[in-house]
Amino acid sequence: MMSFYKSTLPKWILFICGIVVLIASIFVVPEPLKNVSNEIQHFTSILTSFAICLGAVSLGINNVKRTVKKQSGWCYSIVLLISLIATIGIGISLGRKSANFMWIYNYLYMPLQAAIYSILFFQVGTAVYRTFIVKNPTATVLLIFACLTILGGAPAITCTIPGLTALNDWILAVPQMSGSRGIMIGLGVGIIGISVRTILGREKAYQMGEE
Amino acid sequence: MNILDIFVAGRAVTSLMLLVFCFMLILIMELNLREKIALKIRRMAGVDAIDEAIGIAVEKGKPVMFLPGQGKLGTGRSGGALAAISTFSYVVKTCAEKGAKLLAPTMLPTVYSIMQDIVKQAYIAAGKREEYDPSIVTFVSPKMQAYMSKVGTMMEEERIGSCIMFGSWAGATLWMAERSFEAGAFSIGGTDSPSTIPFFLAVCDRCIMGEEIYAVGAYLSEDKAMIGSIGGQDIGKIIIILLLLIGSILVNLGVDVLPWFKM
Repeated sequence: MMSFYKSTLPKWILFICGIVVLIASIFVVPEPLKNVSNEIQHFTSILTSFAICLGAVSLGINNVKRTVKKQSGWCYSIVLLISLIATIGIGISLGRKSANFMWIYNYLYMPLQAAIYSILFFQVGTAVYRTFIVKNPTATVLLIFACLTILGGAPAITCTIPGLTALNDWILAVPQMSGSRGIMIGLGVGIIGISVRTILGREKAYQMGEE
Repeated sequence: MNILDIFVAGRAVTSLMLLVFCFMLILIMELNLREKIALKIRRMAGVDAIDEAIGIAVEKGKPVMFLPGQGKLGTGRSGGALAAISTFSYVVKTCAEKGAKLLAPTMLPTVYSIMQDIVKQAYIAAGKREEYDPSIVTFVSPKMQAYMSKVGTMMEEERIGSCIMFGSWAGATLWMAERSFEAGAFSIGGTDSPSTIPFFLAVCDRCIMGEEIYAVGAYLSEDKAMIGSIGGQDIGKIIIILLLLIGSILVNLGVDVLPWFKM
């Protein structure tokens, strides 16, 4: 019976939902079937909302445990718990559009987000340095093309070296584009494959509770 | 009545091609499952490196970190999330068998619950139920910057031995890969996001790119039906290449082929 709820039933739900959405997006179907397909797609948002609640509870429990056990960085867990409770509390009691909630968003959340993202600048630098170390012929080709693309994007260089802009445009439009289109076609075919396997219940790892 | 009228306007030809391709996939999958044909999957060095990564972490006595990417289930990037789940089930099974400590922080709430269940089942299957720890999989935050910050700190604090990054990635790619390098971890990056492939190629020790990540589940499980579908995908790619060649010739001859696909 357990196997029916954990394996057979989810497989059938997945199969029916997948087929209904597929048929409604390909064929001209009666309005009720179209509505069912739309509802299935809307249901994804509802499931995600429930999953976020589950995730928030897990986050809270993990940080409470960390604080109680006084594990390393437990003081940060207190900051997190206070922030979590305060944001949820203000959001629920005063509303998402209230001045207090917007203050948290504009003056705490946004600057913190920007600060974290700005560190990426330095990491791009170190990654580029390691990439540009010539280890083999492929790395040499990468280095040459990367240098041409970087120089081709710098106005001070392009105005002194004639033809660099045209060369840069050609690199982006021909070798780069053909490579990325090849990857995109492969991805499209791969996504169809994984979708067919999932709808038919052949994608083993997705079936929870089964080996 | 025209047969194409049963399809949604403007999608008839592409829908027909999709249906033919799906039927071909199912056919090859079934033929391989019933052993009418014998398809094999080629070696994938990046995937073989997963065992190496777990082995390195065990030797060093350090944890393995698995990151399932940023692709959400139920969106256009579901494929990456599904591939990450497939790989995760293999990683967690191997870690349970070898006794490696595993950390799997995620920013995807829907993937979180699936990963939790996979971990539980893997430890039960390995006969190590008592070693199962619900905090192996942690939900950090659905916001990218918060996730980046927390995972970067975890990499340093836990001194990870290897880092396996799989799935659809976006802005957090370089951050994760660089932080794992700084932590001295052996890293494997697998992604289906074309814009992030260069970052993984540049920074990771091993890289699995493009549609290869969708084949990982078949490669690791050696399931005949799944291998059959990979064979079907390869035939699909050959057909697409032929269509591209024919299309290029027709366009150069002055034939406008674009309206055919808008019927």
